[in-house]
Amino acid sequence: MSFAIEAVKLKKQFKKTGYKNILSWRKPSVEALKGISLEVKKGEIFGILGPNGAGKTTLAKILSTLILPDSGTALINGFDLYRHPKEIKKFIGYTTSEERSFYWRLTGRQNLSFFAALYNLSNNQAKERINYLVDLLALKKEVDKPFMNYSTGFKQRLSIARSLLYNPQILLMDEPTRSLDPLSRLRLQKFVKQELSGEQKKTILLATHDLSEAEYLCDKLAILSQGKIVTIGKLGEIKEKLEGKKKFHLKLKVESDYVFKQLLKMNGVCEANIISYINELMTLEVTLSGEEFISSVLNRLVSERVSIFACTPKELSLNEVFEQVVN
Amino acid sequence: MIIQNLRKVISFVKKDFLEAVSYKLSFFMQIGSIFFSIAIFFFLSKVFGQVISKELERYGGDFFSFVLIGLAFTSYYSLGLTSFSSTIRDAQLKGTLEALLVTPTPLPLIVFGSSLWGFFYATVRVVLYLLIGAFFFNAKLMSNYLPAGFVLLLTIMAFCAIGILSASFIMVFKRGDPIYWIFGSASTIIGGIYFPIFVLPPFLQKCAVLLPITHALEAMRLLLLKGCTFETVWPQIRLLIVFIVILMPISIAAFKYAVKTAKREGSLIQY
Repeated sequence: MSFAIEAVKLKKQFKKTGYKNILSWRKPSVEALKGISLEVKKGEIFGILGPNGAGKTTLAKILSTLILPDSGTALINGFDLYRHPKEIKKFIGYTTSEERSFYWRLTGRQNLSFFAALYNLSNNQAKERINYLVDLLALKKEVDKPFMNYSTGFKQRLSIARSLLYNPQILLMDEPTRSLDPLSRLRLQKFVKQELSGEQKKTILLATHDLSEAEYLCDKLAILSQGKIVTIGKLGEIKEKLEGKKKFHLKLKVESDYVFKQLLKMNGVCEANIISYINELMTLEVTLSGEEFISSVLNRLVSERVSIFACTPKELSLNEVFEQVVN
Repeated sequence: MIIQNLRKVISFVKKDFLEAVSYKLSFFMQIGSIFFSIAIFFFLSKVFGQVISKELERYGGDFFSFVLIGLAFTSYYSLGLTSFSSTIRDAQLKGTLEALLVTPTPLPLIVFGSSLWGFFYATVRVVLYLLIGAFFFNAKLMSNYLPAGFVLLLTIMAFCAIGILSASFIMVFKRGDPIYWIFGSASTIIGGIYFPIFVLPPFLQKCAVLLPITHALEAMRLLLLKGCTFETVWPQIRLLIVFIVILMPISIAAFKYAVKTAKREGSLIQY
C-alpha cells in the first residue's frame, strides 16, 4: 500500500541558546525527535498527540519541508523530503495557529490573493478559489476588512482558507484550534471532520495536545513524549495495549462497608473507589489487572452473600490512556 | 514557469505597495524629507562650495550638483546592501517567512520579490532628488540618461551581490553582519558620496578603488554633470562588471550554503 506520509527514523536536535552557553565552543543540544517512524494512509486523519515540548511542531515542520532532519527521512506521496522538496510543496497545505503569518494591514482577500499567486494560481483561478473558500469557511462578512481587525476565530479560518487555496491532498495542521473559544473550536472540528475529511477525502496530520479533539477527529493516533513515539495505533488498539488493565462499574447491595474492604484484598484487584453509597446500595469503580479476574471477583462477592445488581465494563477515556502512556 | 514567477514577483510588489500606502503619513513624510535633505546641502554648498571647487573641476565645479548625485544614488547603494538581509529579517520578525516558505516558491525568488518594491521606491526617490535639485535649486544636470541608466543597472547588480552576501550572514547569525559593517561604513566614508576621493590621503584613495560605489559614482557624475560619452566612462563600467563577475557567484554560493545551514539547524524562521 502506498501511504500519503511515511516517516522513517526521523531525528532532530536543536542547539541550546542562552547566556550560559555563549562562551562554550560545543553548544549543548536538545533532542527534539529521537527516531520517529510513522505511516499515514491516504484519506486518514492521523493525530500526533503529546504534551508541550514533545516534538509535535518539529515533526510538522520537517514534513512541511521547513526544517531538515539530522537523520532519517520522510516520503510525502512517495516524494523524498531531501530530494523533492519542491514537489512535496505541491501536495501539502500547512495550517498553524500562528496569527503573525499574515500581513496585518492587508485585508483577508488581499492576503489570500497574494498567497494564491505564490501557489501558482492564475488571477481567474485565484478569484474563483477565494470566493469558493470564503463561502465554505463563512468568511464573507470579514474578508474585505483588514486582517488586524479579525477575531481569533476568523484569523484561524483564514489560515485554513490559505492552506486550501490550491486544494492540496495533504493537510498538516499544527494545533489549529489553539486559543479558540469552545464554540468556534467545535465548529472548526466539525468542518475538519465532515468537510475536509468526509467530503473532500483529504489526508490530515493533526498535531494537538487537546485530547478530546484527538478522540473526536482522529482515525489513528501516535502519542509523542520527549521526542519519541510511545504508542501508535487506533484509539481502541492503544487502549488494549495498555497493560491489560480493565475498569468495571459494580452496583451491589451491602449492609456495611465490610465488603468493600474485602474487595480490596481480592486477587487481581488493583484499585477500588466508592462512587456512591445510598440506602445499602453501593456503586463502585474497580480496576482489575486483567479482564479474566472479573469472574473470580464476582464469585467471591456472591459467596459473601452480596447481591449484585449490575456489573458493566468501563472504557478507558483518552485522558486516562494519555496519562498512563506519558507517565 | 516564467509567467508564474513573474506573477509572483508582481504580487510581492503589489503587496508591499498596499502595505506602504496603508501608512499614509509615513509615506508622504519620507517624500517630504527628500526636499529638506537637498535644501541642507544646497545651503552648505553656498558656504563651502567655493573652497573645494578646484577639486571638483573634473565634475563641472559645482559642489551642490556633485553632492546631489552622491545623495541620490546613496539610496540604491544602501538599498542594495541592506534590502535582502532586511527582507529576511522583516519576514522572520513579522512571522510571515514560514507561510512564504511552505508555498512552492523558491527562497531566492521570495527574497528578490520582497526587495523589489524597495528598488521601485528608491527609483522614485532618485528621480525626485534630481527633479527637485534641478528645478528648485538649480542643479546643472546633463541629459545623458541612457548610458546613466546602464551604469545604474550595473551599480545595482554590484550592490546586490554584496547585499546577498550580507543576507547570508543574517540568515545564519541573525544579527551582526560584518559585510554590511565593512562595505557600508567604508562606502560612506571613502566612497566619494559627499566629497571627491582625491581629497583623501593616498592610502585611503587606494582602498576606495576596492569599493564599487567609487566607480559607480564616478561614472554617474561624469555622465550627468560633465555630459561625457559612454567611451569615457568605459573604465568604470569595466570595473563594475569585474565586481559583478567576481562577487555574484560567491554571494549566490554563500546564500545557498546559508539556507541549507539554517534549514539544518532549524533556525530559518527564528530571529
